[in-house]
Amino acid sequence: MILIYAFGFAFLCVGIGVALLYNRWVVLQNRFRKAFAEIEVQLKRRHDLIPNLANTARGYLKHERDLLEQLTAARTSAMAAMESVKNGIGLHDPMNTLKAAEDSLTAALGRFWVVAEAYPDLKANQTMLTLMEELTTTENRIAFARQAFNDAVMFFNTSIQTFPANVIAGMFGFHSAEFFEMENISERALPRAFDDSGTTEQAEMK
Amino acid sequence: MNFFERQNVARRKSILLLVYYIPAVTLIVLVIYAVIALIFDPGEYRFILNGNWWIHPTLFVWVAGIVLTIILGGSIYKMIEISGGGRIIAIMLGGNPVSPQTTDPDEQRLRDVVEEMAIASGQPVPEIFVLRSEQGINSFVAGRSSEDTVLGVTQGALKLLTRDELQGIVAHEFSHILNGDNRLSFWLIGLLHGILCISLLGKLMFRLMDKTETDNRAVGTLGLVAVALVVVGWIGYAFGRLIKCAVCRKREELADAAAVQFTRNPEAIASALKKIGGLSYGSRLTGVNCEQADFIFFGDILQPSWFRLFDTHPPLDKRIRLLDPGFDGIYPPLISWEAQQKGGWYNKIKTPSQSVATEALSAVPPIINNPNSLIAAAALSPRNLTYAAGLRASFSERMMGAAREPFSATALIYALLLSDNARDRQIQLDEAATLTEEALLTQAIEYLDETSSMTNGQKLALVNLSLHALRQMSAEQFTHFYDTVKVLSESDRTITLFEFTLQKILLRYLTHFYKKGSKPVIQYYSINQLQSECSTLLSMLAWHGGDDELDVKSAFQAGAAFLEFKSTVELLPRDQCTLANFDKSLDILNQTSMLVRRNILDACAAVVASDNVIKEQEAQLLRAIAESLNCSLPPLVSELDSEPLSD
Repeated sequence: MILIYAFGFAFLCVGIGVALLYNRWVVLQNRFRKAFAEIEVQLKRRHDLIPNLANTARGYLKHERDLLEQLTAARTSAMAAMESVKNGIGLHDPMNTLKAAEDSLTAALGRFWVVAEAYPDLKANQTMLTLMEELTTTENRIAFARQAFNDAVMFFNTSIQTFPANVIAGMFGFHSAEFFEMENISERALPRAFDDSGTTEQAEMK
Repeated sequence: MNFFERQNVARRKSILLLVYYIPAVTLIVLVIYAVIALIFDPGEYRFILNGNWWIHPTLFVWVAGIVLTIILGGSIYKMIEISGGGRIIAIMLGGNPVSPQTTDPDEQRLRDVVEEMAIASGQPVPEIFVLRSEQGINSFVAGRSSEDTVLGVTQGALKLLTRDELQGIVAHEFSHILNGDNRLSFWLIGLLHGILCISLLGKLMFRLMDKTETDNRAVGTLGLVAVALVVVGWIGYAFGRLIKCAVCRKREELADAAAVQFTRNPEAIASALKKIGGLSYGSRLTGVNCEQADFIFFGDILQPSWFRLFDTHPPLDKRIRLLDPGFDGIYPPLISWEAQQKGGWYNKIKTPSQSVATEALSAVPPIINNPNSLIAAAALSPRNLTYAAGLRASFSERMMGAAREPFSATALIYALLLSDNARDRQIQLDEAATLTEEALLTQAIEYLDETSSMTNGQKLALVNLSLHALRQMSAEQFTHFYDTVKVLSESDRTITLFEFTLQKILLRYLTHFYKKGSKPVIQYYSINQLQSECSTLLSMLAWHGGDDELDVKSAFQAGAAFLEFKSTVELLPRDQCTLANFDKSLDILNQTSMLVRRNILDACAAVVASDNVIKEQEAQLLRAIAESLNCSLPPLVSELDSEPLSD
């Protein structure tokens, strides 16, 4: 009889322990999902800026239609990738698709800046300068939000990969989440010449 | 009734909660024991025949042990589940978070109302949730402390209420936050879940028996136990509801009254309540998890029960009549938003209910606000709200946007700390450059053109608005952020009052958020050992309030009279009132019990209000004191101008 009670008590303890762990994971999972929402906001802002950029540049870059089309196409696929991530934050496949799409958008933007370099009128255009400024701050924000997300993911991953959690995490459907790495946008996307104009402005401010 | 009195009411209710809870648990244990003693009695009911069936010590110990384990286990389980903060509760209720950058006009309106109210009450902006599948008009706040509070409204409230009405119910919810009702709700959800676990266990046993078919006797006995558990569970449920309504009914009325005090617009809440009455959905909710938390809502989420015995809220018409004594009991019909979307679906219109309540209600106005009371200085008033709306309107769209996103909010705080002097600023930037990313500092410099011309009141309001975004940083980012803030404030070797207050706010709302378990332990339960600390606090306030020595003395005495000391406290000379001493005293006073803190805060408010003029510096010091002592205190409206308090 005592044995049964002892057994029951042990069972209860283990049950409570498992429930505690489960709750902890749900909290951590929510935390990185929430962190991703911030990335989403900033990526969306980035995507929204591209059409304006293309429209402003269209008048100047008459002979570079391909370039603008590539840019628009990269934006479209990045938007589609973001849509697909919405239901699978942290899952391997959608996250990698998004990474690839955003990287190719960054690359397209990089090519755009290189070409725009050759058009002094475009460089001096006021709308263009504002848009560039917007893009730079957006990219800074993406980097910041990405850091927060990756920290949260690391925290979650550590908590489900350590013993004894790793034994039961899988049973409840918790799997390691994927980090969100992107090529360093601000270094690649903006050429030196554009960047310089920004720093001189800052120097004046200082 | 002022703000502190209402907090005391919430405190008394917590005691009431225990007064009901302990008999409820005892009764449950006894009933289960009796049932089990009857069922498992080995001596063929000999115990009953002998008249002493209840004496069975070993069995009693076992039953009591197991039942208590289940109840406590259930309570602890639930409390741990919701200790993740209000966010977890909101998700449990089916809420969807509203992004601060939302583009939906209705959501923007809600966000604006909440932000104004947050500035007015000196609280961080709570995370906002919408219960999208709920057509009724309702709202709630949840969270263990003001650091992790969320505010939710239903889809119905979002779509059907006007801005004023929305402001009314948001004010109602904020007064719950300020009154300290959330903490009580947290305990209530946890404790009641434990009681409900008994009936859950009974249901579980039923389900198990369906699956297993062993010998009949065992099943029969088990079945009896299961029935007993379910029946006892119902007793627990009834007790739970009694506890809920004992604790909650009055506090809803108090929150209504406080909301009126806040907005000075009784019609707004009254008309929101009338809309609830006119809507076929009322304030009812359909979510499965809503019932266990029904007492945190603005309106009843269930149909009224028999004789209103188990209602968690006062009857609708009573609440309306407290706000609008001339109410005739007729609710204008309102078509639900869902039906409005479908168009022309007017069959659902409810005919106006003519049920004029028979209860004679005295037309007592709910606000008893004595302007002569010193603490009235700290009461929320419509002036706070006007002031807050004014402050909020004074920020450009760019500043508001910056306060809503983590990256830019971080940069914004840096910008607020940067010096006006170009050389000092360069030193600050150089020192900070080793700690933080360049992009943040660059952004901060860009904000300077707007932040450098702000008053301290504006700056503090911006800090308030940024807190929510700042909490989206990861723990590592926060460490960098906090170090940078320190470096930026200390690089000029002096700490200004603003820098001091800012650090106190960050400490209260963010450090505790990121570093769990760093809360101080209570070491003092009486004010008597704390004379020197108290006199530092009051002297500091007094010296900031006036220059004339006589004024300073009388202000100090006004505050000292509030302190419950046996001996007297002395005013310190001016040169001893440094921020460093002040800070040291605050650290010690933070180790006192809540009652002592209240007393100290009362005294501080008295010093500030003694000359009927509140200077900006005084208001800031008071804010720093309140934040350091973890007390909620709405900001004194002073920064507007130095108008006298009594009006």
